[in-house]
Amino acid sequence: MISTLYIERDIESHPRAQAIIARFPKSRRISIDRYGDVFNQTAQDFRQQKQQPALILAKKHGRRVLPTPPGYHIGGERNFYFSHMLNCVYDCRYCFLQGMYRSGNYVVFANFDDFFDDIKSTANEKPEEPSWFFSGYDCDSLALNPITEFTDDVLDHFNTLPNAYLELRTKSTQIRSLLKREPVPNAVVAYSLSPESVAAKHEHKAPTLKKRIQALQDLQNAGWSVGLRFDPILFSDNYQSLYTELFEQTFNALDADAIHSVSLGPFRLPKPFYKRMIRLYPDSSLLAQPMQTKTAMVSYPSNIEQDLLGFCETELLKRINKNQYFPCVSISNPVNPVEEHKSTSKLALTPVSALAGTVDNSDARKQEPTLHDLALGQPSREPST
Amino acid sequence: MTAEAKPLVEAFNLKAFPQRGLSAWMGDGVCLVQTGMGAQRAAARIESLLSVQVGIDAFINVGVAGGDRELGDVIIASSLLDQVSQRRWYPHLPASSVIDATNHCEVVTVTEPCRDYRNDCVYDMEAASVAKVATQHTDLSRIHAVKVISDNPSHSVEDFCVKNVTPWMLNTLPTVEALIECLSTNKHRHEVVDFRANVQSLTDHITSVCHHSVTQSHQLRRLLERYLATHGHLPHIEQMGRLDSSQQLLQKLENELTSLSVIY
Ligand code: SF4
Repeated sequence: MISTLYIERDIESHPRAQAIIARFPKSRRISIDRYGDVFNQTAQDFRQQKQQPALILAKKHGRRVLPTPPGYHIGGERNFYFSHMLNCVYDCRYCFLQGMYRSGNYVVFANFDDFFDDIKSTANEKPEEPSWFFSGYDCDSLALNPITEFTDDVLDHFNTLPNAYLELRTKSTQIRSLLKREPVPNAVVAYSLSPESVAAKHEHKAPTLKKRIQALQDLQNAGWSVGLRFDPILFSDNYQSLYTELFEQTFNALDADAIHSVSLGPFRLPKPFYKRMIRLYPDSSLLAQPMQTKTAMVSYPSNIEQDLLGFCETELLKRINKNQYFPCVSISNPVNPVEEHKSTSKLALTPVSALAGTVDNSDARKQEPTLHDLALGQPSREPST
Repeated sequence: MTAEAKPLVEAFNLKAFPQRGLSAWMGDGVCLVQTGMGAQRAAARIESLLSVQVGIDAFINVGVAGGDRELGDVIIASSLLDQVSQRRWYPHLPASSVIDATNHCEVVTVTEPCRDYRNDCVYDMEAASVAKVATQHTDLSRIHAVKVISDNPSHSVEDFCVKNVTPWMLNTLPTVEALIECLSTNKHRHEVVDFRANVQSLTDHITSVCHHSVTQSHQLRRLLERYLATHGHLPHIEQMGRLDSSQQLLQKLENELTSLSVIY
């Protein structure tokens, strides 16, 4: 699967790096100084690299835990995100990572403990208030778990932090390690879901909808708190029947009352990402659909977006309570498309992916922008999901 | 040098390609140019070749190098370092099923023959310079260097004998052939290259019969890309009506795309 391993000299002897390296005895190993030297070099072709990605093992320096953009939450007041990995084993055509990174290679930051220390100190800045930490915005939280064993470590850590909550965002069915252990009460496993035919067309290499729902069901039956992320909602002429069917399939399989949170978001991309993506995938039928640029974001024309979100929201609220619902701020309507929910305290932005534009090269001795710096709003990310 | 080129000319059945100032050979999908020694000369020869031969979209620099390895050993460059500028490139290497994962290392391009032999890199005089030019034309999954060891601590560069070069170069052939095969049969790349070429060809045709500004040409090309991506074929030119107004044509295409049904 991985033919080439790039290994930062700084992390080479780290036990976790060693464990990952040992999983690829036949791969070529190339020592490097900083991951950015490979990951951020020019003259790369993301699309080509996605066919045969290399794995870069690195040490994350600089800011490991960052605040989410204002308004982004699923019920908490203090919200942060972190990325132990960059890029994803799946290949969703709407994914903003394609527009954000030059490289399709995977980066795994093996110094998980430094992330955990930062999470702990961030949570302890206000120990009386719960803090939320979102994982899976620059990657899929679970997809590479058999190699990184990230989830066991991160869940062990959150078990020791009663005032901190974790969201693991994923499309992956790699849940064996979760099912083997006791559920962690302050963790939510959140799945991104799309109608089956949309997933088949645009979510390349990702598990089918059926498998994702099965994973959700298994997790819920085992006592895990689960979340649903309907993001991005994609337009089609038959969207009403597609999304009705999706909601039916999903909620028929799950205990709706026990679902932690449900979010909904439109297709949206920062304009520079969108431009890069159409250069990479001029043949994508999704990216060929009519779009509008609104405040530096590209998304469906306002009327289409509002119809889509309004319909899905109405359908969702037939199945869940308002307090489980976290809609994304619409691009065309900066507040929530459905007026009545403006009054709910959980307003909010969907997931994020916030990292708009961030090739994090703090490690490559460069100051990188964060989502906030770029002020681009939140792409449909879904990474990882 | 000629001794380096000869085995490749024979293996790929190449024919001389007469061009002033260039020693070059052509064959089925392969073009070989003798760069001569040294970074500047290599860069100039590659530029010259690119100026007379369109469509070159992959580069493999093949030649001799010095390092602390057995004479005749072959490596593929995992990175290319220009010793003068300290600029480094990392080629995106093919799967280990295509190219043996064991024989790789950094190729350091120097200006003078080097006797400081190491086992973690080899020294040559051209590879980084070729990469520098090549990255202006393609991406790093299509730029490689394959080197055969011609001098090492026991047989330094002073002992170098040209007559050994041809047999050593034969050792590079399996790697070079595997790379060419891999680069030329990349289905994903072909798909997108063909897609772009079809769109460009219709764009050129339309703009040759109906004046478009530069911006309008870009708009037209993107509209045609969108049309092909959504319809599976390009619009039939005869159905597009009179091509005497670029604005009308762009609007017509936009309207068609806007009204297209999207069904999953
Ligand atoms: S959208 Fe999520 S699952 Fe899909 S490629 Fe991006 S990160 Fe991976």
